[in-house]
Amino acid sequence: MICVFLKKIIIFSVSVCIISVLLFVISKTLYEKYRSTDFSASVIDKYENINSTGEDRIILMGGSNVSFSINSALIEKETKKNVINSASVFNSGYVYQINFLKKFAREKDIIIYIPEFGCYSGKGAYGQEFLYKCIMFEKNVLKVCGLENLRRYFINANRFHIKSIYDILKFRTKVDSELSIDRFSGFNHYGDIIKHLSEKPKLSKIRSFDTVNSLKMSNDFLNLLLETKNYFDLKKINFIVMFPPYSKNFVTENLLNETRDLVSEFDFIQGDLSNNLFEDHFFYDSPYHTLKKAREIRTQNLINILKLN
Amino acid sequence: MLFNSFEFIVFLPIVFILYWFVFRQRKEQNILLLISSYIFYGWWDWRFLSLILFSTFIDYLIGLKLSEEKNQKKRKYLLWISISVNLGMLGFFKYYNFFIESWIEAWSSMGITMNVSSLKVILPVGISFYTFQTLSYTIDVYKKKLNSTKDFIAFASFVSFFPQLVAGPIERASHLLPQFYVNRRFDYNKAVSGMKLILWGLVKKVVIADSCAISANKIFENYENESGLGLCMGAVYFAFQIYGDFSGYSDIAIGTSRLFGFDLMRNFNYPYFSRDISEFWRKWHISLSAWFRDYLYIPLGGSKGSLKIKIRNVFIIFLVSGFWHGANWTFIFWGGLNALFFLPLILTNKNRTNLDIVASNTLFPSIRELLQMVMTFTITTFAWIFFRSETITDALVYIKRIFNYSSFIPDVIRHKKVLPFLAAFVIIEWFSRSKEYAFVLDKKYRYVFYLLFTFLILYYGSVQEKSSFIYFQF
Repeated sequence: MICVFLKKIIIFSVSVCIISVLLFVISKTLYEKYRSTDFSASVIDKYENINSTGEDRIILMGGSNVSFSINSALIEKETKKNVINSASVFNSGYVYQINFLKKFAREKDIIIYIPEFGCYSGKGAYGQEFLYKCIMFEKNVLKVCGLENLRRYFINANRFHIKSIYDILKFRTKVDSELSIDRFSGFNHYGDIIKHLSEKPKLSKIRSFDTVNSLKMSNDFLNLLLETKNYFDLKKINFIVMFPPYSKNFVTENLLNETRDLVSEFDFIQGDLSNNLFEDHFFYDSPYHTLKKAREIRTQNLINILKLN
Repeated sequence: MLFNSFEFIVFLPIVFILYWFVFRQRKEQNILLLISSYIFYGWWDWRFLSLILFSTFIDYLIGLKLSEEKNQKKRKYLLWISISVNLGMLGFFKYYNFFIESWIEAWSSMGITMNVSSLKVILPVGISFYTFQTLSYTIDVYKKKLNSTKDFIAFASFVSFFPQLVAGPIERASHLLPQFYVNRRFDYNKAVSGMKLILWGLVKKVVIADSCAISANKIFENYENESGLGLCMGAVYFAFQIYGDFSGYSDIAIGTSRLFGFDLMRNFNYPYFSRDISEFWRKWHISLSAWFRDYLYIPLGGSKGSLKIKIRNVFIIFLVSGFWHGANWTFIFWGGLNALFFLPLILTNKNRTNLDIVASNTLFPSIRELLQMVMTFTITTFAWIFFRSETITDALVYIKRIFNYSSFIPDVIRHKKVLPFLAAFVIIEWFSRSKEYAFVLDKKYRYVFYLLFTFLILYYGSVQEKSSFIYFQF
């Protein structure tokens, strides 16, 4: 009888696997059809940018704050260097970000790395949306995603595929939806998101975020930063870590002190967070996605630091 | 190791295959179960295995001594050693900081500052469950209801049996221990019912409880900004969260035990269809209620004796039960509240009125039964507010804001993701209320439902990766 029992369990498990594969195939087929307009197209663009742009480069990397809140054209004008904004939206996680930089940075590059505060703790996994949108469709992402992300992908596979099918079917009829800002047309050729600049602040969305009380820095993250710094030093690449702009209503004195401590302890961590704190209405849809005015101030602050280097 | 984790999906089949195909002798199987249970527990923190081992050794030795000892005084002495060691361990790890902090607060309320430092004591997972289980063994041996065992492996396996080690059901030695003495044969029907229970338990935990948890947590953490209706929904969500979470765990535990040929006692029996609070407590966390009834309530005199004794006993059992759940005044208040709800029934001798299944011969309940069920659900949910809140003040403010009618704004859109699941869940449970578990399906379509439930688990299971079970903290 135990063999009959096991046989049934195996048949059931195989059925679950077959349905999972079917979901993946449907999701991928549907996705390919809308690939050119979906936001992941911007990821392809970023790979093209970093591969094709010549010498004397400044590479901007980090979370979505870098996509939303930096004027690359201004940096290029002021520094006379080629600027590439390689950051992606949807919380790509620090493992991906650092792996990307290690893979594509060249000698004499200047890297400005601006992770969001959420990156300082944890294991650097992708945000769920980034994972399910990109991982199976962008081979380049797969190459640098890291083991933790792969593990999470397999645990979440069915959810990603079901959600992906639902989203694709939904967006097909809503091309100009709110999310279109993250699609291909929302970016300029540097890789900055520009479509939001003239929008009004979404205050209720901004205020739904939690106050950041502490960096809660994980050893994983700190060790990776130190190891990355050494790696880039050997390759003669200038690696600078900065803090994202933030709504002043969402940071505490404790956080400010922690960032100051980091700056005084590690020479490659630079900038004063308090220079990039603004009121809520300077932001678009989160306390670190700036609108035009704060974006200019923040970029100018960044340029000042670059000039000092 | 959590039942809803990837590790357990790998662990369970390995132990199952080894158990039925490699180690087929009873003694070998017991050793395998013991090692597996220690791995299962040690996955969380191997250091605390020493506590289980210590508790196991103490009660094993005391059990042996009790069976040899004829002198009643010495037997009582041995019993008290066991009680002191087990409750001392529980008291230190679970209640030390609570007593210290309450002591400091009491003095500071009189303007005296105390400089007593609290320790950073980690609460070992499941300590309340396995200490009660080992205690039941010693008490039963003391009362000569059970012969002590000489088989240490069987006893250690009984104490640490992994399906129910960390969150019950709290088994009686007289029921579970003898199952380790006999040869187990694979029983197809038992294993199939076990798998069904595991699947249904995971649906309860992952789909119902975890979905409710997201809404309940948001509401309880921001209760000051919620409308009256939002706060009511928060309490309802928590009522279903804790039910789905804990009864789901119990189902998985019972189901897993059946795969290895063991029977565990039932822990939940559709408690939210109870017509009074007494019926609710006969159907909610049955193993704990029965434990307190047999080892505390009845020895205290139960419902016999004078009015004063009856009231005292009801309060003792509910307050102790509340305190068992956690070292916080909120749990004690929750227990006290349930005692207040229970008291009128015991004083009017109506505590054993509703012993049958509600609407057993009809499809739907009568208006009277429906009102009784709604009333019972309302008062238990009201008490859950104290159980869920961080402090009694939080709970009182929460309740006060519910009755703030000016902010009683309908807010249905926010609940549209969870309410359909809750409605479906209640309907499924209602039509299964006479059965052992709500998962008896028509043969024709059952495979489709199994697949549907599996994909629901896979879909919702990834939202909150590795969400723990509430009762682990107790």
